[in-house]
Amino acid sequence: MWWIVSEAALYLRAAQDLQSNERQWQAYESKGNCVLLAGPGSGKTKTLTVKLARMLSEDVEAPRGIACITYNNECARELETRLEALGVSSTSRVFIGTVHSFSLTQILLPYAKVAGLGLPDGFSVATRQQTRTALESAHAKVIADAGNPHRWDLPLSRHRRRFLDRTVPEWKTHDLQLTKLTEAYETELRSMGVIDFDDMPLLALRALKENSWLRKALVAKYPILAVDEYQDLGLALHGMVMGLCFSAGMRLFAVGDVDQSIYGFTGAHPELLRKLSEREDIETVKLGLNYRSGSQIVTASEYALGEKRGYQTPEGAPEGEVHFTPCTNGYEGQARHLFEVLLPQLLKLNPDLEIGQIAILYPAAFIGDELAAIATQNDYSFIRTDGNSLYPRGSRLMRWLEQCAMWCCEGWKTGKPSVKNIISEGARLFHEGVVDEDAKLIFRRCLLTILWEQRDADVALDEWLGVLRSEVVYPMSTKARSLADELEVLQAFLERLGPEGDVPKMSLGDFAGMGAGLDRINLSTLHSAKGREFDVVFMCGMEEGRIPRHNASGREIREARRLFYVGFTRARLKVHLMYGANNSSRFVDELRNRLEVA
Amino acid sequence: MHLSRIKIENFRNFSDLDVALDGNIVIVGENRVGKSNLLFGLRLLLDPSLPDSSRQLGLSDFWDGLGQVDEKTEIRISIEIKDFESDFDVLATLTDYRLDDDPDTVRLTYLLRPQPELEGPPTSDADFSFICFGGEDETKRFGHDLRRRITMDLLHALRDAEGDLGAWRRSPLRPLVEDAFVAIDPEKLDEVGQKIQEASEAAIKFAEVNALEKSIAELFLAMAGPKQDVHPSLGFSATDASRINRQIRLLIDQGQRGIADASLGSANLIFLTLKLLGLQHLIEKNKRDHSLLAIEEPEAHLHPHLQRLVYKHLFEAIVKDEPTEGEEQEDAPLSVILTTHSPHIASVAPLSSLLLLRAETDAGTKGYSTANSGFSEAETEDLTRYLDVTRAEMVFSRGVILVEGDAERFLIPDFAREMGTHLDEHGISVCSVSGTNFQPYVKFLSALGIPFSIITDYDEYKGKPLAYRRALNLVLTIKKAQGTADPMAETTAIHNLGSYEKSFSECERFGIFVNSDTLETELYENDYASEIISLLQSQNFGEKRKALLETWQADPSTYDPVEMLKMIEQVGKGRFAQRLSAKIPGKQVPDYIANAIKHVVDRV
Repeated sequence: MWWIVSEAALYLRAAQDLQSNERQWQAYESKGNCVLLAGPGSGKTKTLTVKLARMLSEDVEAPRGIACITYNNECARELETRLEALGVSSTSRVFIGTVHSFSLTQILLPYAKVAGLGLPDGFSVATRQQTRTALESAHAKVIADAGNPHRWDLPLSRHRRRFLDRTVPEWKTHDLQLTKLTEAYETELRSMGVIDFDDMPLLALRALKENSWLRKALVAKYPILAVDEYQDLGLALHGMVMGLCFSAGMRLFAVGDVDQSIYGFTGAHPELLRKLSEREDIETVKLGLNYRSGSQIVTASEYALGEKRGYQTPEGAPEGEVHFTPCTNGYEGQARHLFEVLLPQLLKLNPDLEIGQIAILYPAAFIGDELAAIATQNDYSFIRTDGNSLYPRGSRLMRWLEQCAMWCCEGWKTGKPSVKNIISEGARLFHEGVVDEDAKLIFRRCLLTILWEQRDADVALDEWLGVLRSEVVYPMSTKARSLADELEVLQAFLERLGPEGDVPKMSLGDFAGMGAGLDRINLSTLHSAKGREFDVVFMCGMEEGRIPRHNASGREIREARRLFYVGFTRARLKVHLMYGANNSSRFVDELRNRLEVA
Repeated sequence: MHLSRIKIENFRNFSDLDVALDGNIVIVGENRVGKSNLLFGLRLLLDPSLPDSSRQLGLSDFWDGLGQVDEKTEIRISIEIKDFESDFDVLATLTDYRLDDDPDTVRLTYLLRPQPELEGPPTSDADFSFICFGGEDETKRFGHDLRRRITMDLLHALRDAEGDLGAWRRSPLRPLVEDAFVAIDPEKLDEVGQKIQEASEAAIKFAEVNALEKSIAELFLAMAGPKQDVHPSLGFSATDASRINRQIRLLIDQGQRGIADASLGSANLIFLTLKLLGLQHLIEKNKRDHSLLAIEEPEAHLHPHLQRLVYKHLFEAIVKDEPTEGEEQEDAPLSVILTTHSPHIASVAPLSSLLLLRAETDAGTKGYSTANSGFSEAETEDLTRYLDVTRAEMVFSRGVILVEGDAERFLIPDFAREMGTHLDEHGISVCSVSGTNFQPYVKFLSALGIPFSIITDYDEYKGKPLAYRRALNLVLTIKKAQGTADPMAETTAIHNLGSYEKSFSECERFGIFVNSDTLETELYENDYASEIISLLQSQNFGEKRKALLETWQADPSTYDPVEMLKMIEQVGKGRFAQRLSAKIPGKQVPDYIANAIKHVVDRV
């Protein structure tokens, strides 16, 4: 009928763009299970969003919908924004979020009791303090040595992820001490009435395994499951996909790149995606064109990876440049050379270059400290997105507060961001407190009153945040079981801003600027740069012992190489590799040699 | 999906109604017992056309027997739903609302309670607020999104089918016609419009019509003056392509008459037809997943035969959705809810759909249903066959006396009158089970909570009463229906009393009354000998029997019961009883019959 076409016009127009790329079009036309293998800059997100819009409009009818699982909250937000631009507004029909939020909101919160998981009544998500306490008590009971209990963090986490099915005999035999520690730790958590982050996918997977009605219910709600960044999502998700898609009948649309698998330490494994793509009952589509990087960079990136992938650039792509910059005096030397020589040169030669289009990437957060210090000395403003940033970029609460801040500065005049979006995002964030239209009205009135009174870019950030926290965030989150962690992030940030804190005074305007992020240099670890793109990328600390690390195993070396590749492929026009003059990484050396030969 | 339970607390007639259901519901009960209020309770949950202002109940909606409404008093209306997994749309809509301990059951609840910040008892309607939530967690709210997919439509008792069919905006024909026109090429419609216009212009051009038009225009102008002139003219209404569909009318009698000329009954039937078709369309177009169609007094204006035909069809063909070969039986996307006073409709309703509402002093209206009575297939068949129109009356009775055959059925009302009791005034029916298989009827009446007694014959066989096992089995059934933990205990106790006499006398506590032989011999030996003999003498029996009757007349004690029963059977037991009933006045009523009547009268 004609009016549906007019509603769908936006994605149909966007789909015309895919038509010139044979592979993107093939994915767009796929009818069954489909795996889209997408290299850097191959138009992956565009293909995914247009395909999602199409499936929502043509393949799935209300009240059924699509679940889309992303690597982190930021990816989820980006997908939401892009889908909105295609006329797909977020409704209850569409779930977009991480494996953890999928597990929590779609399985554990609604079904924990009826699925017989034996969780405490009204359980919530553990704060960091609670997980620490639980580990300490479990450690005292099971290990009972003088060592720091928190050195068990990683082994514990790995052990839990390794045994998705605890009924196998190996659970008792593989490492009995760890098993006992796990059980004691989980008992501690339950007695506090909480589950932790790792619990979410594990419990969800167990609920799915044990209850066929639950699998059926999820297939009813979401006949299609889309997964982005499949290579980084780990065993639990893979288990869910196998159960939901290959036995319960959900249709799968998975996107990923084996070469960009860099989260081995969280349990991800590139083999899972590779095996999936080799299944006979799946249509596998490989995107071959890189629209992001200059042709030189694309060629060099295959040397960086050490594998021939055959990626091409479209006609008319710029050439791009790769520079090798050995430095002296350690990381400080690299930082000084960068901010005092390379950067001024770059900006002088390219006056049109936006500062926000420059990224400095490094293998470990502490190198970021060095860079941040030198940047401040040289009066460059920057934004950090690594573990030592002011607050985690993935925090939905903080990102929402940034939006509120932007509205309080200039947004109330320009309508950017719009009140409507701030309110609907807020309502989603506090969804456990904002349960119906009435509650939404109250939330809106309360939020608007506070924001209107606080609209002053010069007000001190800690004051502004304090008011928002006590007037909006706290009242709205009393019932929110999923927000404990986010509240802790806010608390930690406020402490850092406070008189005892390590962060200099900030104004609301500064905070809003971080939300906009336009005129700031990006400082990021290689890991955190995943999925992003910049005109110019500086890769600092590209040294042996750092990438790969000392004594790395074969598997770790392969992953380090993929990490090097991921950083390298963030760049559109220029890559600068920086390293100690006598200690260049083997990846740098190999790349330089092969470029020289070519 | 089907409704499996409804629970209503503190709402209007209901203090605490909790009753099992089996999908379709046929609600029976006396006037003012709360049938419409039960429907309104369901609408609070599932009717999207009910505005939230109507969902906001108030003080006057609390149960009258409640006395004081305090800060803690709530109105709570819940339904439970089962079998919601076969349609994935229904499943997607309902899955979040499962019970904590039972994944196969979904619950939806309407809850009205005083505002939490209230200090002291609520004094006005504004002191209350309502929520609708699913499962057992108040944060799982539902609203229009669910009601749009799983929808209740109500056809009111005082519906104006004719008026609704006549007004385009309200007509159930409108969405169907509009739908049918969507796919038609607008250009072709333009052509039709053109032709209509030409034809109407031709009609207007007749001089007579022209003259009329002119005189209207002139008089209007004279009366209203030139400033207010609306330039009236004559013509057929809109011929614009996009509005042609509105000119479509439903005609009856091969197009000779409009709906306004149809009888009230036909108009109602047509209305129902269009409504059902409309519901089917909504579901086919995936605008809706399940409809609960509630019809108040569906018997309105319908001849008894039509009542049976129409609703038998509705229950059998539309609701059940016959499976095509090789397919599994699919849940139909339609549930029907009727409130009725018609035994004709009760007689065609599925056995498990009956829901009987009865007002109980100090406890509000209670509900009784047959949904969970555990009828075997044979019993269902037996009862379904049994519940013809005359016997479906049972459902509307306040008490029932179950008897073996027509003879008792004819005699007992007259015995009662002799005792000074008018059974109709008490709302008591006498029902014959045509034999001795009382079991399913006892289950049925126990389930509906209707008081009953059973009159059955001793039936001696090889020196033992056949009635013994019969009576004990009935006691067992009654105990089971009462939900007794160990129903066998009672029957064992009765069995151990030592004599048939003692056991039978114990069975009377359960309303089971046994004579010492069969009805006719019992009567003969209790004061009716001469009446029976003279009635038999008025028959044209052969010489041999006539002679026999004369010896009995001379000395009634010499009679041969076997021979007498043979004679009565030849007359026909029912016919004989009818004649005998005329002789009752002034005679004694046999004890076991008097007790059986008294048993029920005392309980209604």
